[in-house]
Amino acid sequence: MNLLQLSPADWQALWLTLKLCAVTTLLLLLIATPLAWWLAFGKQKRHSLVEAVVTLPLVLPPTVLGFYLLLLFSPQQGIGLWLSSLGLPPLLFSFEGLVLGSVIYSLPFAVQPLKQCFRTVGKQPLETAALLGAGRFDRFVHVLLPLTRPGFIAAASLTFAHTLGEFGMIMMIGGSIAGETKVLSVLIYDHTEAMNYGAAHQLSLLIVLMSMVLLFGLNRWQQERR
Amino acid sequence: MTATATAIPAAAPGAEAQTQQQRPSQQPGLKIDIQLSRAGFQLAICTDIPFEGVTAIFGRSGCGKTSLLRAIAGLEPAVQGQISFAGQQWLDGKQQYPVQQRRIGLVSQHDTLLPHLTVQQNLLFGYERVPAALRRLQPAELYQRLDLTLLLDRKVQQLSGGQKQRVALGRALLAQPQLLLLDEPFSALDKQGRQEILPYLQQLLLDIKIPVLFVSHQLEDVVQLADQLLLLTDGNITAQGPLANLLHQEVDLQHEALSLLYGRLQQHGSTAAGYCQILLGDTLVLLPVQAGHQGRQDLCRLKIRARDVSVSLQPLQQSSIQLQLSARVSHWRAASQPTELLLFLTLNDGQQLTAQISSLAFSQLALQQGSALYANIKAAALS
Repeated sequence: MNLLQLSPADWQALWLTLKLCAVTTLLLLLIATPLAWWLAFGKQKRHSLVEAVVTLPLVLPPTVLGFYLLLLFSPQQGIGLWLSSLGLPPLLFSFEGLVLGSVIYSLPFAVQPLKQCFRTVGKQPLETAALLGAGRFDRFVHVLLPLTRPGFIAAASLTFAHTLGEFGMIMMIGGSIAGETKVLSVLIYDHTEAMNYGAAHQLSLLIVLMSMVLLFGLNRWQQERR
Repeated sequence: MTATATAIPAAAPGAEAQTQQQRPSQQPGLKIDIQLSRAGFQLAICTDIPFEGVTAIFGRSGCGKTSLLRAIAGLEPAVQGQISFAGQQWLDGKQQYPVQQRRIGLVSQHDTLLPHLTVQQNLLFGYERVPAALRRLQPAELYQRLDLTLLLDRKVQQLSGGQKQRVALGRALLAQPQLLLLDEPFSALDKQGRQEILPYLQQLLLDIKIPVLFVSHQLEDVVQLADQLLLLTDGNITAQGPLANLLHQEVDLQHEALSLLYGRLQQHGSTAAGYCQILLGDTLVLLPVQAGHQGRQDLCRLKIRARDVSVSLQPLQQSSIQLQLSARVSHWRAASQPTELLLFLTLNDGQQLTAQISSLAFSQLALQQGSALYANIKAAALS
């Protein structure tokens, strides 16, 4: 078997996959940071409720998540209807829709490491910084970020790797449109359906290697810090 | 100020007390009227702290000392009421003035050094955030005074407990605070660590002219540092006023039975090597000079344990006791041991002293209220 003899369609899917992972990771870090902070120190019932909702994608079958997103994005109702009334492109079977789906799908993988890290660091360093005259943004940049960097790196790696492995939910809401929603995992399925085992194997190995490198790198980095 | 405090004649030497009374508006007072409820705990404080010297907040563990300090600092979001400092409204109802704008220095019992910064970066964290016009205390001077010069490039993880507290104190002071809060800064330290930081702290408190609130559950530390006392019991203030007076009035404080006397250091006149002359009331006494002690010009404090004080009806002749003061019996109370008594004495100048004597001696000497006698002080710590 010749490794990395990728067809233009394979390259396109690889590029699309990396783009989806990168955009999802970036968005999730922005969303998960305040959410994880709120969950880390909240003690009320509503915190438990939100915590459960955030954890849900971890336990639900991807098809169930995909099914409800399908209903949600449908142009006949809900968000889909609202978006089309604003003249915006539909979310269903589009890259933007995939990004939104992935953000929800990978949410727990961004929130959990951040939440743990915020709890470990605690509020005390921020209180100290405030007493020493540091404002909100100053505290975030010069105290919280440096102290919780391990949490952010873990959250980013896990989100990226988990989005890489997405399949069921994408099949439900994205379909298989080349250059728009046909990511590696979907292309592997297509290749296999077409009995094109050589091509499927190449791409599968590629995903295994990418995930392996990412997780090994994260682990090694965490090891060195201990 | 509460009625207890105003009714008591000032124990600190008269001259100083009078100048303060003449210009009360100059004192940066802290007005507090707050409530804070937590599960099984209620803090209700209403007081006016005028800041004459160091004010100590004393009470048992769990009485609300730390909560009170955190409320003043703006770190308790659940607190309600009013707090104002030197005309600045820090708390109005539930409205909090931002912590970072209060300019408070807080040294806590916990290790609060920022772990991702070096010692020097920690020390300068607040200094760099203060407008240049407010920077009165300079880093180089402070490093030298707190003996931090050799530690500057270290990681904070490499410091001992005492060193950490010194860095935390230096960091708080370099932020040029207008109010310094000390929350049991020694409680995590052993005796050696305590000795490492106390002299520095004492000297600094004398030099920096900012109000200090000092929280402790160690009466000995309080007597060493504070002039005013605020006694806290189960979330309420039970007494407030000059420390020297409250030491004699409050039963809660007497299981350690200490007295605090103020004297005047006489710089002139011949002094035997290693001793200094101190004027206590109308008596001139000699006391060993403690290393590193410089004193507030002429004012000095003597910390005296009740069990280091004995009494006699006549002055002792040819005795090893150097410190004898004539006094009158004010009142007495049973000490913690059943065979001992705490005898409360009033000196000629009105200052108060406690002696711990056996009840046998008490009846043999036939002591009564107003009896004139001599207090023989075996040891006094100059601070």
